[in-house]
Amino acid sequence: MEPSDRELIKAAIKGDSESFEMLIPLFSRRLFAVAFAILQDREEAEDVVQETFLRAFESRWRLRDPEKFPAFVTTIARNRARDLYRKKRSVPLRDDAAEIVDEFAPKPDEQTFGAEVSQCVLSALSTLPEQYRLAVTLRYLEDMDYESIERTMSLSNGALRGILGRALEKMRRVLRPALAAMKG
Amino acid sequence: MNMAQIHDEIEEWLAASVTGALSPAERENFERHLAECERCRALHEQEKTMSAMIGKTFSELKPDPDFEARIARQFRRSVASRRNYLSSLARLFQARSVRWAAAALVLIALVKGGMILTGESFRTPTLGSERLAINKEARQEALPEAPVQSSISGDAGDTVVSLGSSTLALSGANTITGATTFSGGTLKLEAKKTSTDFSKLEKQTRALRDEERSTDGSPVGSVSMSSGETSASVPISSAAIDALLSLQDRKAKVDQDAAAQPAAQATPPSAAAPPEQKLIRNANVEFEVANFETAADAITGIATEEQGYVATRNSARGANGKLSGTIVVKMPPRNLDGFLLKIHAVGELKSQTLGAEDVTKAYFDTDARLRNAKRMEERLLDLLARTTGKVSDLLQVEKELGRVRGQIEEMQGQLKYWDALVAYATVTVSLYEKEMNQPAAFLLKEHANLSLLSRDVEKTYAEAKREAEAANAQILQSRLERDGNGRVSATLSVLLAPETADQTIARVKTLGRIQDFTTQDERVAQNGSGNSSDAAKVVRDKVELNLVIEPDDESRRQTGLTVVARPVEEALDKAKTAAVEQGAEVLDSNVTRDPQGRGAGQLQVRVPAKSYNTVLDVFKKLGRVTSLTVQRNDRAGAGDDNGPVLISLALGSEEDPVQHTDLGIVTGKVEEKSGAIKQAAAEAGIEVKKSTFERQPGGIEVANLVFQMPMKSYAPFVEQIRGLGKVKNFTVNRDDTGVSPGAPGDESAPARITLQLYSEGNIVPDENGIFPTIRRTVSQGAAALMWSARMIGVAVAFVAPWGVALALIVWLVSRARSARAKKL
Repeated sequence: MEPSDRELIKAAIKGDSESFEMLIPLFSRRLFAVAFAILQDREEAEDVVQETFLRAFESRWRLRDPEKFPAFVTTIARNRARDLYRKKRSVPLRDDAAEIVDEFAPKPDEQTFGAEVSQCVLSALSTLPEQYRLAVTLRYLEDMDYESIERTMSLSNGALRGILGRALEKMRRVLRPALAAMKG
Repeated sequence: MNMAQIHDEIEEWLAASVTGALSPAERENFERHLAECERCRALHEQEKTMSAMIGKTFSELKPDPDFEARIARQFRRSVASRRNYLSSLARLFQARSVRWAAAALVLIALVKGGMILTGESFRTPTLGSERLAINKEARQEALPEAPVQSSISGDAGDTVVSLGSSTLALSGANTITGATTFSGGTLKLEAKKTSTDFSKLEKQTRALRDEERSTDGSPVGSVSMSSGETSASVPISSAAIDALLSLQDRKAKVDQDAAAQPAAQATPPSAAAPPEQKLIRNANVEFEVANFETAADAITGIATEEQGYVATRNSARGANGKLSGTIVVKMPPRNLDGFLLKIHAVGELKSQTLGAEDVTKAYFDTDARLRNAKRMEERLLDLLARTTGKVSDLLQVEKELGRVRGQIEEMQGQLKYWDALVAYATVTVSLYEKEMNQPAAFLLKEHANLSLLSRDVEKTYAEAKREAEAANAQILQSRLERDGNGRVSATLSVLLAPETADQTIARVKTLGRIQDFTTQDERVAQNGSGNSSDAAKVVRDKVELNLVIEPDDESRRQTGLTVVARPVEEALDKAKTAAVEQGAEVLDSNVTRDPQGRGAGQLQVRVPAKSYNTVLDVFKKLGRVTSLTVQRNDRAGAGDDNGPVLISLALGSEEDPVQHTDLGIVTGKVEEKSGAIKQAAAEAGIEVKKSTFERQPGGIEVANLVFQMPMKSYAPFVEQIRGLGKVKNFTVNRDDTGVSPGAPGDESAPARITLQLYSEGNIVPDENGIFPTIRRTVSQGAAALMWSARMIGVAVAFVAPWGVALALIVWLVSRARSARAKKL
């Protein structure tokens, strides 16, 4: 973390809302990635990011070490997204709605090839455990370097490599038919 | 880098490669492996394709460029709208000191709660001692600067300022707090005691007033005092409060100056007050006096003495003959206080009100207007003198002159009136004679209850009746009764004239033996309200005498006799027969025999005096006499020995021995020897009361024997016993207090011997040796262990609740924390 960021975080912890606001551009996208990894819904993910900052500001006094700020906000975002995800799953109407939407959705022929691929990738992603999903999302959505991802996810040094390896292996297995089609 | 290792961990390498995490060296190794391994190459191709797909997918999902700005905007809005106080409070707890303080608070709450639960009282500082301190402080603080309230208002209750021996109370803190500047407020002075304190209070008040005059010359308000709950209220300035507070210091000086006071008082306008001061002073005093005329004369005398005069005096006689009235005295103001003090002597002061009205302003206004009017008059006169004009003008001036003169006269009158009032204070003294509300008389009603005992009820009854008739008494009730047992009783109830009542009652009292006499008085108020007073007249009403006559059959003499005789039944029958033959009356007789065969008999007879000795002799011969008591009841009539005598005879088959002997004899063959001695006893006619034999585990044989015998066979038998073996202990205990009539040498008195025969074993006593010592040590150790266990239990009981409470707090805090963490 850069020294200027640390100073900013320090000021923010002390209750300076303007400093806190300046932290938003630094962390909002990665929090978005975290939330998206869990929820797979952009709007909901944005809501979660929104809420995360507010909560982080309210409970800033819990944080003493500025170094831990990234992990701190990530935890908040993750917990919040999980709550939301649990709520979403517990409402059965959602499934029906999805089917109804499917009926009105454009037929595969009409869909662009890219949209179909995205669908496949996302569904493959959704089969992964949360941690894998998070790692992949942070890497691809935010193009974050390994070190940042490890810090965000509170992982030990070098653990990300194994995680990403297994995650991509699993995805490849799921996507094998699609990959074959692509080749063909 | 080992190629095989890359092959095994190919997935990691693939992922790292597509996500660009390989270092140049790694990349080289990796590519070398791919070149060698076809399978891995294929996988790498797939991985690259997939990575591209994922990358493409996510690139579409990226938030729009406005994303951060949007989030920041919303954040700003939310933070502004909800300033969370709770979070700031929570933030407070971040500080370690605050946490400690909270913990300490919890602890204190626990202690206090415990105290309340257990009812243990904790001492709160008493206000009393503090009060004084506060006042001292207040005084010190108040003196240099005006606002007294800052120092006194702290006290919740009444502020008490101690002034010498009397007490001034600044009643109600609000009086003091409310008055920011004291010139408008009221300070109430209260003295707890009456008359003596009163003069002191007055002195103090006067001193106060003087103080005030000398300090700022602000107007003196009214001073009112009333005895009983003596109180005085004086509106005074803040300077006066200071003065009051410092009064204690000056008290001594004031007392010293008491003599000098009148002198100081005599010159208040010149010395103390500004010379222009126009004060109208008045006083109302109320006394209760013994005699109106005397008091009124005394007051007149004092008034003259103090250079005043009596303006009016009126009095009226009430329905009960008591006088009351008022005297109005005019008094030069400087002598007013002296006068008031002096007249306190005429009676009991009931109330006193002092008032002063400041007419200075009105007076000088009027005076100024008067001067103006006079000047006007002069000018008009001047005008009149010089006018040579028309008659109508002349008339006009004349008319105006008349009006002005009228005004002048009016104002002069007013000023004169004020002068008169200022020159003389008005004192209104109300007097009334004591006991205005007493009843005219009381009616005293007496009741006498007399209970007589008489040998001949009927005769006494007739005599009492005759006595009553002789006194011209009114007989309310008379009755003579004879019940089934031949018992005669009489009651007589009479009303006696008050003049002769005492004599008649005295005579009736001599008719028999008085058992009971009570009198009862009742005062009934007549012709007035019920205000009781000993001075009221008492009129004696008729006396009611209730007389009860009962037969007097109490024996003059009682004799108690205890005789040991066997068998009891036979002796009792004999006694009864003999008594009846001698003309005695058997009141009670009974015989009891307990399971041990001991008999006891009771006989109570009333014998005529003449046969008393005969009967007593017969009784005495029944057996051994152990006690004889003769009791005379002199209350029942002295010297009368001809009445019947009550004899109570107690017969017993057993008697407590007068001599106890304990003998311990060591011998062999205990069983044999005890049998022998028992036999010897039987031959000598000695009674064996008890005998036990026991062989103990140690081989010791013990025999216990108890013998009872007459004293005459005691000595030979003891000798016989001593021959049995070695005498270990021998104690003799003789009790001569239960005196028998047979004198010390009574050979028939019973004696008891307790004999213990025992053989000597060879057994080591229990208390010595190694095993008992070990056993004792172990048992002591066990006892100590038990004791310490108990102490630990006590300690746990002390500590455990605290531990539990603390654990609970810690648990709750940690739970709350984790709950909050989870929420986040």
